[in-house]
Amino acid sequence: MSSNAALLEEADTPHLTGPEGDDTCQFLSFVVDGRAYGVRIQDVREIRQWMRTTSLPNQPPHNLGVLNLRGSIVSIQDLRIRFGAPAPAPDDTNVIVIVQTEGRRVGLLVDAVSDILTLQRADIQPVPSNRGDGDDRAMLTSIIMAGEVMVGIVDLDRVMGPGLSE
Amino acid sequence: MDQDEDYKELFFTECDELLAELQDHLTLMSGGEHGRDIVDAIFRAVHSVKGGAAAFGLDALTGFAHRFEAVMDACRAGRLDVDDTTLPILFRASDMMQELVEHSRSDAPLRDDILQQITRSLDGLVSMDSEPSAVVAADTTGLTQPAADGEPIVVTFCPEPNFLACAHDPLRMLRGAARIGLTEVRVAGDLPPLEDLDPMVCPWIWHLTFAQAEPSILRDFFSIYDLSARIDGVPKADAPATRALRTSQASDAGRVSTTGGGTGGGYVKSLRVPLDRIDRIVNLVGEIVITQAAVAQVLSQPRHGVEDTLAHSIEALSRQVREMQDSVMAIRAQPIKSAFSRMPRIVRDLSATLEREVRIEVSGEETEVDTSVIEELIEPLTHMIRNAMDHGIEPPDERLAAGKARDGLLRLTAQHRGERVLITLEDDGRGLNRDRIVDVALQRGLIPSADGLTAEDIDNLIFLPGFSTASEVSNVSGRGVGMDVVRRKIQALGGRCLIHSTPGQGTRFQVALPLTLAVLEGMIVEVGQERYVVPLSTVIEAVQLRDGNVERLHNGQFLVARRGEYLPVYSLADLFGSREQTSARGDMAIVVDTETDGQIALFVDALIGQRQVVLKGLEENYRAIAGVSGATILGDGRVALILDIPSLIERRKLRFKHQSKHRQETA
Repeated sequence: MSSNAALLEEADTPHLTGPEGDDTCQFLSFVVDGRAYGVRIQDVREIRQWMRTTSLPNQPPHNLGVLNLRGSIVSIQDLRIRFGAPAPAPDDTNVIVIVQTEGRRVGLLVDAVSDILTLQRADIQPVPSNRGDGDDRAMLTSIIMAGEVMVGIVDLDRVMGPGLSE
Repeated sequence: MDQDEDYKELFFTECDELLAELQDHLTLMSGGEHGRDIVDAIFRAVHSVKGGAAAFGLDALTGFAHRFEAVMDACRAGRLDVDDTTLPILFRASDMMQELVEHSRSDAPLRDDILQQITRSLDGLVSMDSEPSAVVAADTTGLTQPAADGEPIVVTFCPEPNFLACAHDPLRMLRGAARIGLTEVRVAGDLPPLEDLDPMVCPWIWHLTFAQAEPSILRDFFSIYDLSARIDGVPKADAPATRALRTSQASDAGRVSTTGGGTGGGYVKSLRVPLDRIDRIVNLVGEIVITQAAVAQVLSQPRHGVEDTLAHSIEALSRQVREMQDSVMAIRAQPIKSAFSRMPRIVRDLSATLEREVRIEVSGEETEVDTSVIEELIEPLTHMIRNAMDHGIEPPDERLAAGKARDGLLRLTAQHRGERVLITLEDDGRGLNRDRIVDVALQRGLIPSADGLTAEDIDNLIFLPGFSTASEVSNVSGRGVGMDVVRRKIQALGGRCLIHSTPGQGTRFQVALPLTLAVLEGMIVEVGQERYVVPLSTVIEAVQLRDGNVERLHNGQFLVARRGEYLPVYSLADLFGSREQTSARGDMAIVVDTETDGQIALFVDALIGQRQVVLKGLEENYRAIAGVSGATILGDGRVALILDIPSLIERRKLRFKHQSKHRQETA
């Protein structure tokens, strides 16, 4: 946790700067519905297995409720539903990635965590906008090319932000 | 720089205390106590504010405090009587000083016209007093004065007993002073009779006026007398802030400095806590460490027959932990005074705006409540007072015509009632105008008809959202908010509002609040696979549901018969608008008082028990959710939601309305 604290400081620096401030940056990549997505490594707090949550009233379907993370209460968002994928009830094979931006913590439910990617900044591309403001695109900040695989970088502010329901 | 800011914040905190003290003593004075000690206390309070303000270069505050102080000095010297003309001015001055402090602290708005007006009133009091030296005399107690350009500087020079022994000569001092701009000398003190005369002690004090002098030259000049005379009034260089900070002696009870309250906000909150409360916790922690060691030792022994000793130690441990929790809560408990003390000022301000004559009597200020509650209380309390003065208390003429005293009376009290604190605001005004309330409620479509409404029902209509009897939105109780805001706020604090009105005689508002917002006495219930907490204060009873006492309406709504009346029964799944595990078997329900909708019942599967739960907000990592006032973590580590049943029902109604509207549109 203490080494994360230092990373947290970095998280405030402009988008997609590597923790060392040089031209590389690192992402945690994971799988949702067979596709690869990622988040900046410095936004990740921890990774844990799915556990039962307490559901909240009057929430959109992608809010899976809250759980107790060592005394603080964290809500869990189902990224599968966010990305329009089928979402059977989560089980032990699912993984929760706990991320933190702007001092708020949220858990993202994904199918599996795959890798840590180290990339040159030049490898980061904007999301092509030929589809207009589709829902899928609105949840991503950028895309990266990792070898043969395309990885979408999740826009945490959108995922965590308001406008989730009501 | 940061440190300066720290000192400044400390000064403001201290100001809060001084001003509260000032208020208290003024109140005593208005109660007819004109003793010397009271006048002195007021003088001291004003004086301390002035001293600090000068050190921080808060010129407006310093100037005002200086005038205030001059008036108090005149009172002290008996040149000015404290009577019905002076007292209101003193009160207004104290209010103004508060406003100036808030203005300096957080740029709160300052009403310049009123400042001018009160300043004139204060000056008027002193000029009535014939002794011209009054203003100067005020300075003999010593402090720095702001040296605005061109303003004369008055230095008080008071030789110490060693003055002459240090080979100083008063005459040489005065001659020297004359060369750097001395324009006037006044001397105080008298030579003792010859037989008592000590030729080595200088018996005089000089007031030296410099019409135009460079502060730095004055400083240099007087610095040589530093060790042998008390010198006051020399403008400081860049006044080191520290000077202003008297190490404040721990005030009587832990006084709260709600630095966040009122108009400002945004600065760090601090508490002043009596030492013995902290000692108690330190001792308890010690005990717990010892017990814990005992438990560890027992566990390390061979495992036969240890259960008894272990059970004993664990029992001690749980008692200590519980005690420790109480002690920690006691640290946060503060007298409600810091909220109440603001109210007289609000009453005075409003009296002028509304042309009412109102007295406020406050009692039970020493009642202790958690600081969080106190801070949250100020706003609803203010609003209740505004409402009482705007709608309750009549203008003076109307009161006289009704055979009442000319000035209205507001009585604000606080008292402990079990686990709650009960706050009452009573006025002796005209009471609620029930006909008019019904008219307005009908007109705004808040009720379908007035049939069957009891007097009490009608009174409670004023709490409905969208209700405001003032035909024109006044800026007093107006701002477009009504009593519904008060009630919502109180409910958000886990409290309840009651109203009782007697036409022609007055209205009584009662607010019952929990003592703390950090822990909550809850009933834990099981519904489906989940456990929930329902605030115990709202739970009335649990009922077994049998075929005989449950009815089902054609629309699916369940009703339960209870002592001759039917209560609606809701399922949590329905209230939550969710599909899953929140459906109960339906053989048990708890009856809950919602206040807004009367009593309702809620299907539950089991009562787990009453427990104190520690409240955790959902906002911290997510956001507030209607229908849930927070969450807590149960013994097994799972999260249990704390249900806010009135708002869940409110939301369900809204949903229902939408649906039926939708149906109508599609039909």
